[in-house]
Amino acid sequence: MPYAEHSIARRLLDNDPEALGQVIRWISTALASPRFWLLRSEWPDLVQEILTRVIQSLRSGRFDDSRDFRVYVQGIARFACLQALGTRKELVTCVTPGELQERGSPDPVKRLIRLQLVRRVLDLASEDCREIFRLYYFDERSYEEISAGMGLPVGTVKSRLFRCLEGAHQALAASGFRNRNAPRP
Amino acid sequence: MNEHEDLQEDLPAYAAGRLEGAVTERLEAHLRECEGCREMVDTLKEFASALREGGEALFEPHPAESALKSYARGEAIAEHGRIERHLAVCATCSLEVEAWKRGGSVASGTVLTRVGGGLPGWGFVALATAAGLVVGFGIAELRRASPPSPPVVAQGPAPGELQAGPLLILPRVLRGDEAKVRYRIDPKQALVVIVCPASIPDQAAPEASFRYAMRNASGQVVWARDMTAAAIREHLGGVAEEVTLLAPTSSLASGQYVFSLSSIDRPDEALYRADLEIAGAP
Repeated sequence: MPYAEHSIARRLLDNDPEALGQVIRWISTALASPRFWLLRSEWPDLVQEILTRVIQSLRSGRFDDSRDFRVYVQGIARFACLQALGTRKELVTCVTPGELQERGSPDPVKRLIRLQLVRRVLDLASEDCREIFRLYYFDERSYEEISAGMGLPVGTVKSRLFRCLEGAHQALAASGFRNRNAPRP
Repeated sequence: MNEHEDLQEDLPAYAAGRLEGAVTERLEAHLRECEGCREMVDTLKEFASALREGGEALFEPHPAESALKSYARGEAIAEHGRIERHLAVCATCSLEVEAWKRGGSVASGTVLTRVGGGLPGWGFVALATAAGLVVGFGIAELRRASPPSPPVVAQGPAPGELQAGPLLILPRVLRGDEAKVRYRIDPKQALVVIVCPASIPDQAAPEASFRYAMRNASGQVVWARDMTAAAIREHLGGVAEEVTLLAPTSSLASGQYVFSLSSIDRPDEALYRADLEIAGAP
């Protein structure tokens, strides 16, 4: 077998449940993104199909073990989703999560999409950013309180929060996160 | 520091309704003039509202794969309550639970059991999104990538023909490193799927244009794809770390290539570069 003994690829072929769990998580992360909401009802079947492709690919020795296996798995996942989208007739309709609200969709849908997007942004944020988001927005602490708690100057806290939010803003804006009907200041 | 830069760091407090004093009036005057800052305020308001709505579960780490597996199989676990809270705000883990519920094993060859239907608690998302959602660059790419390859992809492959083929995964490269990738083409595939690290600058303006290109040993461009920063970011969906590109297999002969990403305005300054050796071309 061409894969290193303790690699996830090898362990997956050896039916190691931990490796299978890891690969399912990688696939789920790639699928549960705003790009593929259209395929939402097919996600569970797609997980199966992608996993099958990954395993077939490993069995036929197509994966180069010197590469990042996560990138390989998620590349297959995204490609499978693009192919699945390519077979759909609804492609002529292309709206963003923000537009869902404009079309009068029920609030629970908007809520779940928003939460998923925010969750992904938090996953990708640094530990420092997550902490400062929590303190400022969730615990509603002031800059001064955060400054005292973190042992940082108030100015540093303020700039760090802005930098962290700037990154979040870019990620969320690219995902069509913002509700376009939100009132302007 | 101009007024825009001077006021930017007050946007979070303003969006949270916690800005006080004269600076509020200055900022509101600036917002009337600055579309970028207005958009950021709108996003920050939604972001803050979603954080409060999602609660503590949003900040908690994802449960371990083994915990989700046990939960899916109905085993008694200490984390049961936390997992339920987490599943209410995390589509990824809900999907993992669904995958585990379908059971199976790798060795059997039938990895999971195929059944129809959506996920508990998330099913109505599917209903709402059935009308269509963000498709982005990927589909445009599938449709545009046809010439000079046959129009297989444009027609949409039949389910039985779905094959990812070997992916051409380009490495992450640190400045000064030399990356060399060897790749064997599958002649049966019409397209080569290229997975490239996202390397455009964070500060690139949305309308800034970039070119992904592949040059042969003579420096001739054999394949290229121009995209704006906005299109690339849309493709990444805010969370992906790699751009997926499709190049017609027929455009590649066996030999040495350089894959690069550069700004259209500065074609000689590569933002990303990888040396390739392609083999097995028909």
